[in-house]
Amino acid sequence: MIKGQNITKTFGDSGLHSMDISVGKGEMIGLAGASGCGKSTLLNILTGMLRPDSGTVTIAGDDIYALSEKKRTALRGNVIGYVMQKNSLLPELTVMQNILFPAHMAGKSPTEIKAQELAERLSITGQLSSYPAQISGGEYRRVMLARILMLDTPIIAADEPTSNLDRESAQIVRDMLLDANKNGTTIITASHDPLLLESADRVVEVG
Amino acid sequence: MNTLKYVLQVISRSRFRSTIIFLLFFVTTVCLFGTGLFTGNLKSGSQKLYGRTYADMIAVPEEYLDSAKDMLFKGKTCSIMFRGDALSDIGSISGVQAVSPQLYLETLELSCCSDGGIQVVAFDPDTDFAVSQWTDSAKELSGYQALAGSGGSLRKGDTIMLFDREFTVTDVLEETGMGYDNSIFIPYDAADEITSSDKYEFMFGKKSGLVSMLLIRKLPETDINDLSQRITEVISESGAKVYPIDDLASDLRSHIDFMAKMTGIVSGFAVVIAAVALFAMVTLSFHQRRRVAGSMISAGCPRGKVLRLFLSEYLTLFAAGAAAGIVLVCIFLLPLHEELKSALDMPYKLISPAGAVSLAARTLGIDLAMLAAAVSFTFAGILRTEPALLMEEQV
Repeated sequence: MIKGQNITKTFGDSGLHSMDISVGKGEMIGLAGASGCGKSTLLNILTGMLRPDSGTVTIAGDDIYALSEKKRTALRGNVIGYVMQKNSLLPELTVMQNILFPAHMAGKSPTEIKAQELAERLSITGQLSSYPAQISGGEYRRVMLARILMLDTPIIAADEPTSNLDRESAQIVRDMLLDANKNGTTIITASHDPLLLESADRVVEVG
Repeated sequence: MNTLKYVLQVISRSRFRSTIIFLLFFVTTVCLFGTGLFTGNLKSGSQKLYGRTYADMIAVPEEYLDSAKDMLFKGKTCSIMFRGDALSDIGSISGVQAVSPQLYLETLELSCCSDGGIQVVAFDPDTDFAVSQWTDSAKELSGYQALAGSGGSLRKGDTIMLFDREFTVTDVLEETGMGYDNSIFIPYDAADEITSSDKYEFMFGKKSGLVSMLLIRKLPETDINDLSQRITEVISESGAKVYPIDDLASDLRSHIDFMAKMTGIVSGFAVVIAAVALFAMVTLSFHQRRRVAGSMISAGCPRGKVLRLFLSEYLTLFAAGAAAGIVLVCIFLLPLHEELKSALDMPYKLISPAGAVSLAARTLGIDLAMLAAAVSFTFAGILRTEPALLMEEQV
């Protein structure tokens, strides 16, 4: 489903060099490696967020960097949902509005009922009317996951989805990703979390 | 969530940033529209210096020239009086189209219209070509009838006591921006009766045939300098001289132009500062929100849509700031119009509503151009940057 060939992206001395990766439909892949080895860079490249210096990335046979910027952006809302490592919620919107926002932007018609269900499963129902600055780090990451799950994309990329979370929060995030995978969603996750990597079908060492 | 709801929510949640941007639009608008309106009013009054007298020249004794100028252009009361007999030949000089006398009488306090004295302008309805240009009823003025300038509180049908005589106001003139706005116009015959009366001998010496100045209109093809020289030769023994209106107003016009220029410079300076601040603020706030833009783009929001959302927010602040600025200027300048006019000591007349609308449109255009420049500059950077780098992701 996703194929990366000869991916090179350098930042000074570090970066990716001629990396190949292939992810099958419905597969769950873990990206492992030391900090700074390029896991996030690889995820950014695979999700169309960062053009590689060289190499190609194809999704369902389409070279995503040969697509127009507009089509590549549309791909992210409709084919790949990306849970980023850095805080990416919109500070002026409530948690509920943040969950619904990407789906609105992708031209979908998200329902608050579905958002409520996701919030219940992620244990953030009490925070739906709060603003991102008012919630804890664990809740923040769960909201980030919820907004991507709202998109119902066939592929989810998640960068360190369980980092800096307490055990309970980390378990909820892991369960949600595994559930999505069981339902056919392709998952690519970069992580240092051994429990999450153990759950993956395959672990790819980066760097 | 629609764009308007999003924009209003973002504005209300980012109060500090929104307030600063609102204030910058507000200040720029006040500077541009306020000074534009002020200088426009000055120029509007200045333009009336020529047109409103409908005279090409005036004849007045040299020693009274300054008083005549003050009366004509600044609204200062004065009582210039001299025997007009010696000037009666002017009408027969070739090149002269019309001659009409005016007599200025300064009253004592008149509570209805003025804190101090009020200027009474007597004119001859039969020969007049100045006042009759302002209102048709000037030609029919007779007996103790009067016309009121726009500056007082007098209305058509009101009566006023002038020099112990009750005059009825038959019409109120529209604003000229000149001294005439605070004057009351009466027929020359009524004034002649006052100046020759026993009761006012202490003021006017019981004389008739007094005039303050003669308004002279030349034939269109006549050279004004040549005619003025010829008239001066004819009336040389009277002590009066002939002065082209253009020359009389030139000092004042220079003063107005200087004041308009200075106001423009101060305004320009303020606008430049506000524009730079606005540009910096919009650029800075856009830059600070690169992560938000990146977040939207990473979630599948097209860059055009991101720009629309951001732009809608700034346009809303622009509309609010600009509207508040225009309203404030109107609230300040319109009610204080009469006070400003008397404080300025020069012709000052409100520009037409169409002129004000055009000025407001120009102001909004400049505001928008500044916003467009700032947004284009910053968004060009966002367009060139990969979404991951906008998010400052650890790549």
